[in-house]
Amino acid sequence: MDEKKNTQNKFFSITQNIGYEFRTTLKLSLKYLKEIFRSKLFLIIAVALPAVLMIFMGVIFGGPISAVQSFNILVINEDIGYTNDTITYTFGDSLISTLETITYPIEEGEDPINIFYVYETDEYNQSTEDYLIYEEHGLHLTLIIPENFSEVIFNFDIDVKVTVVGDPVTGDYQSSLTAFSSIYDEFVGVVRLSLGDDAGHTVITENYLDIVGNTTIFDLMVPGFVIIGIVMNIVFVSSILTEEYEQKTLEKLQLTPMRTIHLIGGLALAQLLVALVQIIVLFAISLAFGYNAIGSYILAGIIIWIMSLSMSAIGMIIASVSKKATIASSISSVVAIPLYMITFFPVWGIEAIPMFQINGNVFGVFDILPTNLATNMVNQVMIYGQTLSDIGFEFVSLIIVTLIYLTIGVVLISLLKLRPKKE
Amino acid sequence: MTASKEIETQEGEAVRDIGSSIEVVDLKKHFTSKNLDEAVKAVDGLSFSIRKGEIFGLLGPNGAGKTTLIRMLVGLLKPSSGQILFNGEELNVNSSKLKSVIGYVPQETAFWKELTVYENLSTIGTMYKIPNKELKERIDHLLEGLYLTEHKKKLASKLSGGMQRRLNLAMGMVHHPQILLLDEVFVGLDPQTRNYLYDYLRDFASKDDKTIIITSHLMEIVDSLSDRVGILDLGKMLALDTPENLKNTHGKGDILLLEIDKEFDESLVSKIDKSVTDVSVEKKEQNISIKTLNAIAKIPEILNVVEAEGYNVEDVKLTKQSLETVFISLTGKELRV
Ligand SMILES: Nc1ncnc2c1ncn2[C@@H]1O[C@H](COP(=O)(O)OP(=O)(O)OP(=O)(O)O)[C@@H](O)[C@H]1O
Ligand SMILES: [Mg+2]
Repeated sequence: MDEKKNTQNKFFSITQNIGYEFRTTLKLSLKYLKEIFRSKLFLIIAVALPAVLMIFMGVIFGGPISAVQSFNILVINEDIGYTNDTITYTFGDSLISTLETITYPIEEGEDPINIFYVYETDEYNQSTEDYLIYEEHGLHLTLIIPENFSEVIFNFDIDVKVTVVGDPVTGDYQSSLTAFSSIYDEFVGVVRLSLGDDAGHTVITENYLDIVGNTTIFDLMVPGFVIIGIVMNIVFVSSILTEEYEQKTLEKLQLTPMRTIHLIGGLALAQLLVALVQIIVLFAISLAFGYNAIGSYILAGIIIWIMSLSMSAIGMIIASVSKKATIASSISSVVAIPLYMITFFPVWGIEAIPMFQINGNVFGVFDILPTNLATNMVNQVMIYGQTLSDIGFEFVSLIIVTLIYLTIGVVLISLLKLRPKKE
Repeated sequence: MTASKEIETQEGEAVRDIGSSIEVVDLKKHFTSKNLDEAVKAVDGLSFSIRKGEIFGLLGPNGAGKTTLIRMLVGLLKPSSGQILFNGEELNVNSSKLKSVIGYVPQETAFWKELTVYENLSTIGTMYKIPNKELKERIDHLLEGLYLTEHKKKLASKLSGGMQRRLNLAMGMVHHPQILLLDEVFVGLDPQTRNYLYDYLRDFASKDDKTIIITSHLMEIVDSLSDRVGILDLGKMLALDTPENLKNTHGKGDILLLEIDKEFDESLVSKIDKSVTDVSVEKKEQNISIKTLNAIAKIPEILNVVEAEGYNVEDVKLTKQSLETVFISLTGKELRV
């Protein structure tokens, strides 16, 4: 009887305690949210700025572009040729040598450059490794010439078909395809004319590497724009926390039974709520400006949301070494730049430098930056339509990296800001 | 005020009596700085104890070390050496139990500018785990007492200086601490609020053995409010006793401070001592300090002696017998407010 009452009491006091813990954190979180939303500056840097950037870029980079001058093309020539009156025609080979010989510019005094460098292979299976093959060889386009290619060219009534495979995300694919299709049209036209017919039709079937078509530079930039808004959260997290120190309100909190974890938790929670708003607003804008996404917005949002936690951690780390809010926000702006720039690496085609590998999954040097992990993952999800299981390694890496940052932040804040002062 | 009025405790001795709530043993705080050769001895070997339930006044000129001492007591500043004991136990800055019983109102105001008066108080109150309903009642009560009710929805940054000080005060008291440390809280308050605070503190201390440590430049308040007063200068406790005893021992009579126009030596001091009856004369830096009963009547006589010696008196300051005279006779300085 008594014992039961005792355990009941114990239970009650435990739940009450948990309640208090939450209440403390929530109250601080609410405080920070009020401070954040009452400061107009924050709304400008964290939401308006990336939104304007995104709208601007959406208008400029809404189409594919390429900086490449020569394209690497992989050709699988399955053409078995066609024999007519003892003469065997192999138009597949002719097409290949045409591709190999076309150069530009034709102007005098300049060395001509090949438009295509042709690599040939006999067998080609489009599998999940395609993407890797592409990456490794820097291929821009794969051309598959069908078995009946020569026969079809001979048969004037039938469309001449080839298949191309490529990665539309690169932009280079789009350009190489454009170049190829004009050469291809020309080739078929010339051959048929020489055989005594008019040009006829050519058909190119496009095959994507698990990818939706029509990817633009803008599409590649979208994760960057959403992420820059979140990266800017470093500025407000660090300055709000340093302000707390500078204005001595931190001392007031320090004297209460509140613990570091409540303070950090409250601030991190506030940041998460802000990030949620940013993610929704910025993705909505990207959609309005023609973001070609086939993947799950929810998964992409979750990835960026988790990444945002590491941004609050970086803010805390900066706050732990800053004495003035103005200094904290300057440091934050400087730190934010590389974090932001790295989100454009896929656009610039900068490749990952591996740091270590686990079961064939590569963890790159830049992956210690959560923005890099998140950008790559969001691209995988939104453009290649990958799911959580496809990006499991990166997802877990992001969580681990974020936890590491958070731990460092909590430790530094409690050591450098919440201990009795020496001065 | 339950503390007894018996005379006790001289500087330099640690007193370990059962009723003591805070005990300080050889506490030191030396600040070193690059541009100064010598360390600033802000608190220089203090030993004293503060009893449970008493109001302890801390007097001292600017830079005496009052704030430094209080910040060490609440655990915000790390002492260079020495001990601080709360009810016999070493101060543990992480003890949540201890934190709940200590209230600190800093000399410099601190609050969240972007929050309203009410939000500031409810944030702090929540940190002390006060249930919502009770917290609301306490805040309303405090706001009323501090004449802030009509401003409770104002952003703290929009308050006047005096209101800010009142908010600062309320933030240190919302959790009804057992031990309240107040650093210069009477500064910048209008008489109305000052009176409220005075009554509040008296009332507060009379209940449940609550202890108050207060620094102030306002002698009359410290005099009438405190059970005991410690006089601090250059980090050392010059005297510690009840206001009555202090006045009897150190501050008998009024004090005349004469500012002399040029350098002078002990001969002028002894001349005055001999020529004027019932005075005790001392050289205190550039001033001559004369302790005597009924000083006003003696001013012309004293001035004559000084002038006869070939000096001019630039200024005369008269302080009637009070804690201030004790202060001046101990430190040779006036309190600057
Ligand atoms: N952080 C610090 N670094 C260096 N010196 C300091 C520091 N804080 C205080 N001091 C020095 O310690 C001494 C005592 O300062 P403290 O603030 O404790 O005086 P106080 O008695 O509170 O004065 P006031 O009446 O002006 O408030 C002063 O000489 C001051 O310059
Ligand atoms: Mg002070």
